[in-house]
Amino acid sequence: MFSTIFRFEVRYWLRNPSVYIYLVTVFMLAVGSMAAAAGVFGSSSVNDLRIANSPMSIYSFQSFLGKLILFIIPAIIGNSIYRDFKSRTYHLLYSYPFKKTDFLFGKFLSSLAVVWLVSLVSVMGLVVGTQLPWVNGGSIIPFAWQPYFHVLFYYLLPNTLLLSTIVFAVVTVTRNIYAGFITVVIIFIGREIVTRISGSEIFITALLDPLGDTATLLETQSWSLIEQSRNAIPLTSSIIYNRILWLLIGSGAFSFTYSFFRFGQQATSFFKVRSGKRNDKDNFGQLLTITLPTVSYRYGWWQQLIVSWRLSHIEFRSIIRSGSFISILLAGLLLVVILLFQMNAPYETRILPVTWVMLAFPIFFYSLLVNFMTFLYAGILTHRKRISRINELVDSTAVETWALALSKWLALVKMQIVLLMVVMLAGISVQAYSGYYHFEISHYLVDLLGIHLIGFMIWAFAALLIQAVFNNSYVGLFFLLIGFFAVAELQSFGISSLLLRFNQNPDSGFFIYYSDFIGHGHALIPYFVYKSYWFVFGCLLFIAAVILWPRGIQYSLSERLKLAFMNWNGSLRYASLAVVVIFIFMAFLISKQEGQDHAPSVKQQKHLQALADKKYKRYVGFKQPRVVDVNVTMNIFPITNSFQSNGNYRIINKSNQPIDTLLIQCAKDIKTVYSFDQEINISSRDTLVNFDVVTLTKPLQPGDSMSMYFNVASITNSLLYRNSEVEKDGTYLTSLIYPSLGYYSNEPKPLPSDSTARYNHYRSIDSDFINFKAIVSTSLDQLAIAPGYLHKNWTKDDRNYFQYQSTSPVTNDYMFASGRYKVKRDSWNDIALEIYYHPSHEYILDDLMRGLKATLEYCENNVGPYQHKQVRIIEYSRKLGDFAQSFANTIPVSERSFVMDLDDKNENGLNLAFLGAAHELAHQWWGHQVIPADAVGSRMVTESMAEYISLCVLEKTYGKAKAQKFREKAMDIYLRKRVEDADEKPLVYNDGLERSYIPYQKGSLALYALRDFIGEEKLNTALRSYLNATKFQKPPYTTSVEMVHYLKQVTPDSLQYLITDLFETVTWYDNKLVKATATKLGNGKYLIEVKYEINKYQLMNASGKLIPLMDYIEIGVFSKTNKELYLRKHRVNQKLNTVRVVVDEEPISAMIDPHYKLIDMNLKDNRIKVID
Amino acid sequence: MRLTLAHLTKTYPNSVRALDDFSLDIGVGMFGLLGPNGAGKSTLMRTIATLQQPDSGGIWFDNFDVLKDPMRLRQQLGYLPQEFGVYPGQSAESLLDYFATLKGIASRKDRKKMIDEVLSITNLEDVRKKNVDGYSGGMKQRFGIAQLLLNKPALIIVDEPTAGLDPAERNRFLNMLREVGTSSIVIFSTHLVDDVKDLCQELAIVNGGRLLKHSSPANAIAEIKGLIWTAAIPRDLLQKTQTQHQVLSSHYTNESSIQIRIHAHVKPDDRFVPAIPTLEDVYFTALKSEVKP
Repeated sequence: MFSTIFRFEVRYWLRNPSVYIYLVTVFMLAVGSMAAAAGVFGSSSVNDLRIANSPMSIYSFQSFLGKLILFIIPAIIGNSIYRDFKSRTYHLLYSYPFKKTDFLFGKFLSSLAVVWLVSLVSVMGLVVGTQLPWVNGGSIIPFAWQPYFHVLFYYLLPNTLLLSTIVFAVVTVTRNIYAGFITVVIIFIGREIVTRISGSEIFITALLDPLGDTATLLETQSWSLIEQSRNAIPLTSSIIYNRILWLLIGSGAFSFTYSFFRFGQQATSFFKVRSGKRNDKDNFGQLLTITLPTVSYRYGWWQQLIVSWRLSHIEFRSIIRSGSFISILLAGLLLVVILLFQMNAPYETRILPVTWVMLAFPIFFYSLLVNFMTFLYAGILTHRKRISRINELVDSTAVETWALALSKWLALVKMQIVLLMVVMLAGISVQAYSGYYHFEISHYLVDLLGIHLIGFMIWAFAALLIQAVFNNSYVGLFFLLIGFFAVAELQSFGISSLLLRFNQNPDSGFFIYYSDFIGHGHALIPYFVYKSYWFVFGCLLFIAAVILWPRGIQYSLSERLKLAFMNWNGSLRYASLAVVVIFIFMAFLISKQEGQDHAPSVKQQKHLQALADKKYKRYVGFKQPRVVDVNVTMNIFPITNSFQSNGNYRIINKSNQPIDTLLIQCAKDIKTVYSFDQEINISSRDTLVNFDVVTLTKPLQPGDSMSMYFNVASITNSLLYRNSEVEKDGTYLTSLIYPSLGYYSNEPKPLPSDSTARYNHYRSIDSDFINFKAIVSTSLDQLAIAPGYLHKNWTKDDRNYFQYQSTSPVTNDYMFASGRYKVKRDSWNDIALEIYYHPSHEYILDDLMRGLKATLEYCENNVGPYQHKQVRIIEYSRKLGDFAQSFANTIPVSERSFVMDLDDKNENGLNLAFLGAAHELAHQWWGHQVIPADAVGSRMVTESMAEYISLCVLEKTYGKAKAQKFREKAMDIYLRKRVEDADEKPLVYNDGLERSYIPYQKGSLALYALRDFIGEEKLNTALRSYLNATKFQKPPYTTSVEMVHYLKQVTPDSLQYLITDLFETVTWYDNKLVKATATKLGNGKYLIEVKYEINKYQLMNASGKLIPLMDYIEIGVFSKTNKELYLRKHRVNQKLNTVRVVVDEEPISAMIDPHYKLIDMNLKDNRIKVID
Repeated sequence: MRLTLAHLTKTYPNSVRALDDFSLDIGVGMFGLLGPNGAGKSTLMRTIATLQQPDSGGIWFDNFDVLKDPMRLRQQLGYLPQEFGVYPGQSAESLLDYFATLKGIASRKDRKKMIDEVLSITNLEDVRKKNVDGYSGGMKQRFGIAQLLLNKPALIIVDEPTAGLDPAERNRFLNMLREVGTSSIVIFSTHLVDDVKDLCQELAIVNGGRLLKHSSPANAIAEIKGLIWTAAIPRDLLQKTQTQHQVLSSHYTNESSIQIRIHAHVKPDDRFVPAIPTLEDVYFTALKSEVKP
């Protein structure tokens, strides 16, 4: 009997076109994604180092395709059992004399075979993808069957089996196939929730992920790029346990189905069954006359509109009453709440639960959910009349087809609104729970319904069309999911115009950058331009859906098409024509706008810059006069988002030769006009990179000076592009808008040993120190700030004017800010402290002030005097960035840092406002007094020192425990980032911004370690003498090598190795505590013996090499209360070592380097429990 | 008010010809469409109800082209398909409100008035709050009539409405139909001759997608007066008799003998005696004549 059922079922599937659709699509997707990774569609954004068919890469493809296949499972496994209910053959079928075993196994195994076939085809697609003739040979390694075998047998087949058993159980119990789809989604949400709650690094989480991804990630996350392209996916215990656990759960689900299933006629309801009532008949016989009352009938378009609105209520009610929807709603709510609670990971910036945070964090994942529900319910609503078999009744009524379709769309939109309101509900709950009671309901509503909703509405149009085309809502859902991800990927296939990328956002994450200063700012304009364009397109899709709407009974495609053509009559024809005209018109207008003022893409810019670097190579280091005085007037116009500025430079020939050529670099995207007080000729002008070569008629003699005048203005914002940095409030502009002298190359910076490099310091190449004067004006309601001291301010023509002036020489980089600020003032020993902030952002002002004071105190005592009489912190809009910067006596800080939730009582938290203030203020010494040359390693002098000083200030104010937290975090970041970096450099040669983890994290760790080994006073002496020797110096400027030289001088010979390890090479340990045993001595003391292993590696030729030891390693012994019973550095010159010490209390654990002074790749094995 | 069908042809993709040059003209009153299962009745009715397109041919109702303007027909159409379902968990009242909306009753008051009336006509008042998907077969058919009446249809099409009803329900249902049919065209299909006998002014007999006979019951019976003969024959002679005569029907009288009715212009032999023709004889005569061209 089993084989009969099995064969019957297999034959059914083989005759079912949907199976072929799944097979072909999955196969094509697999081929396509592999081909894309292998460079068939041209070099993509994919990193060149990656191998397209490395085991890791095959695993990732599997992980993606496997998830897609999971959404086919309900359509196949669920359908195998649901079909009998739908077609009502179960009445008949269930009375046949076959056994439950035959029936269930036959049904399940046959449909499982189909699902496995799809899985197998996906893997075959990957193989075929690597064999295409157009693949880029560099990203493909020779074929090996093992990785494909591995992903198939350890992931794809078990995962699909597991989900199949669960879906089979759910559909059997509920007799509702959609419950099967919902189950898959809920499993996805559940995974997300579990990962969020327990973190992705824990064994339990790894075990709990039904798909095994977390377990695999646990093993592979620390792989370097090279390992990722080489290593096989490991088969470790956590992966095996995970697989076994879930296969057990799967068989549990199947045996549940087995014991549950009866050949019964009633579905199981999870709700209470109302008690039945007897139904007696008494309506026999009587004759009657029928007179129907007089009522009025209306069929006009207005009435049809009302009808669709009324019907949409009915459709909507059918959605929100379904158990599926309610389950998703609850799961979604739970997910959002958890996402919101998890947004503040340990150590990370604790952001206040302000409204934009509540909106920004969950929206990406949640959008997927809303879209999925739209796709699913579009199918359910479109086909529900057919499934309920009410279609002939409905279809023969005099209701317009468009009214029916419109009612479905309206119902979907209402459902989307309900789903979006969940975000608000969750947000407000989390805010209330966190004690934040500033509920901005209107902000929620505007963002969710005013901004996000339209994108979902457009998808609802598309979903209705696809679902109307396919008679099978599962196939429709499948195509919609593929389409959804495909349009998001269009850009990587070279389609960049948003006019061709359906419903994509110009700036995919603009809504995350909400600013209390200006809201969403200009970003909303292009967003709505494109959304209205796609909405019009959506209307076209809708018209197509109406034309193809399933109404009546059609038996063949040709019949459907014939009917569709008939449906496309009269008013629909005019409507579609009108919409097409509007759509083309909009496309024309927008494409004109796209072409206009189009800022070149980052890629194009890099290309241009590379070309220019080649062309102007000879101008690098070309002798130029130096700017000595800067005098500017900056007029900021917040209302029109623009500025206009003019000014002049006094430039002096500081060299010993006459100069006859000036190199003028103007800012990009700024209108610049300049002139000189000397006669000149422009010998070349490059408008692509805004670089001019100017010849002086009369060469500038050594020691002579001249003036350069300039006039710069912002380019106004266009419809689609924001060209001006000026915002309505919270504006922050830097001096990069002004012209400068000399050629800026993007080529790698020179080494410290390069003597020409030392001619310029790292802050600007056209000057040493300058005198700075500025008049800044802004609108009457705003304050304007520039570095220097406020000389005077006045009001003229309804504008505020402020004159600023430096009193001591400053570097040639400065900034302007303008906003409706409130000001907080304080002072420290005659130094005025001011914070300019958004009136509602009062959360961290005290922390900033304390940071400033503590840093002034620490630096004045340990480093040297502060050069200014004032420190100002200025908040600027988040739209302009998330960072803080330090200018002469002026520190702009992003709005983002002003909404932090700081709690000094929290043991794990760091006061980032305090630390930020300390870091930026420390730059006034390290960056503004000592200014390193523009060579690699410069950031060790500036960033490492600033970071190190903030650590010292933290330790002084908050104690050793917080300082340890700081270092743990730094260590964590350093270890994680270096894994992703194929070319790590030693601190002394660190090369700037892209690898910030070296100067920042490693720098602070290295300096702290050195301090610990040689003593704070010795280190401070070295730093002081370095500062005094180099501060406000003239060229040649100092370098990291010189700084290290000062450090060496105070380091004893036995510790000189540290300088090499920490600063001059990339060196790390892999230490391990092997064994710790304790023996109780007679006098209540304990003898503890600690055996430990020390391995030290140095990076040579891109891999770590074991190097000999002559090192000091700190060993700590701890009591039950984690009290330090013993802590001492031991000299180590071999791999295996033993210490024996006597301690006063019972030792519980022993640890190598308990204060994280050394860089150790694996910290987990550094601590061990003491055994008796 | 007339419904005219002209040369309707429909072939399904599995090459079954469901309608074959089918022409018919129908006026006000009850019109019975008689034919065996699979004769093309449902196809015909769905085609008239604008749910299906014929391959060729035309339909006119009240002098307008139905195929060109189906919406106009739908405004005047009441259709009850052979089988239908409803949205689960919906009461009769709310479903009727749904249909009343679909059928163009704009005001809430009007809808209520109309729904109350059709519920009373179909005697569903007591169960108006009950879910329709829990109704018995008869109740569900009555609900079908209720929804059909909402737009005061001038053309009513009911497809095999009596199948599966108990005799009392069937009786009541047919009475209701007759009442409705006094002012409208009612086309109603059945494979039971009895349904048509007392009820219909006109009838059509259909098989294989073709119109075999179009007449009134009385005329049809009159036509075969004197041509129907009956006899009791032994069971084992049935096969032989069937080859010799046009046997219309046969039924056992006792274990060994069968009462048969045949159609013949002259008395075949002595065993046969003249019989009073019935509508059933008309029906079978029409069907048999079609089989043997």
